[in-house]
Amino acid sequence: MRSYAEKTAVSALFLALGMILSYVEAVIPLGAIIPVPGFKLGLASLAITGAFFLLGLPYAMAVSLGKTLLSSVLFGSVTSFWFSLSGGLLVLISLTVYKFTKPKSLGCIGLSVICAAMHNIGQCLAAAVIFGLPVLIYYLPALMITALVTGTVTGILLHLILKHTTHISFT
Amino acid sequence: MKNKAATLPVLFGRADIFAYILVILAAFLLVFSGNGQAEPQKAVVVCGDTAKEYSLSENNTFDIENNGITLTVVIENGSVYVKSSDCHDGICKDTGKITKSGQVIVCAPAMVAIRIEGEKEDGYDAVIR
Repeated sequence: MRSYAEKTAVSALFLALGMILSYVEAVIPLGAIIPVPGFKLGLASLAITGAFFLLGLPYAMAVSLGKTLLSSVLFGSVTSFWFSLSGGLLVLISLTVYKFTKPKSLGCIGLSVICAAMHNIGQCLAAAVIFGLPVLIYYLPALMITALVTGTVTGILLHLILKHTTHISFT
Repeated sequence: MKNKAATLPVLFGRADIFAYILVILAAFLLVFSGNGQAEPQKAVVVCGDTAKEYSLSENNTFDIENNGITLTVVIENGSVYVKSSDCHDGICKDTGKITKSGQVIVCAPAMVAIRIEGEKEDGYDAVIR
């Protein structure tokens, strides 16, 4: 059993990882291959799902909200804060549901796909509310199809990460 | 130490297929949930207390008279502009052509505002990074 200080330090590590992963995915020119505006790989979600499995739900919440706050203070704007927050909150809600239902046959890929789709839904809703354009909701299907692809990729990565980190006792 | 491994999920389980189907179904539901197509753009001309709408898809030229000032408004190929105005400062003319939803031409002396409403498929409203 680790102390709270140790767990807090490790979750700070996950937060730093999430920040740098969003930079890394900004460097990868995926938009050139799949021309869907707003499309990104979602590597930073690995920091949140990783924290969820290795540390627990409260730490995943701290990482997610900390990332939202820090990235909008450092690189973003007020608008990007609301986008990030609504997406992050929906992902946290899905993770909470996952924690309390524990569906045995739902694997990393399925969870990642759901999280990616929920993140897109949250961002689209925030966009529709902030810009006052409910029509933006109709952009969601395109985003959700990309969520299938990106969710699969991050799901495979998540499984690899968990496979190689479970021997470390974080909690 | 090893007890954690039992709670870790598999790579791909049975329920994952349902996760895929759920997302695809939600996407399709959104597409077919009625008017997926954007509302056509229109020009809303507010003149004093009255408002009138004009379609942007058909070319049109009309005069608006208010407060003793006459504006000649032209709708041409999806854009709106004020061709001429009796007003001495001519800010409405200088605004030029407007094409995007939310753009406005205002003539304060005549108390006239022309605003484009509705959605246009192309072009970004904003870019968030």
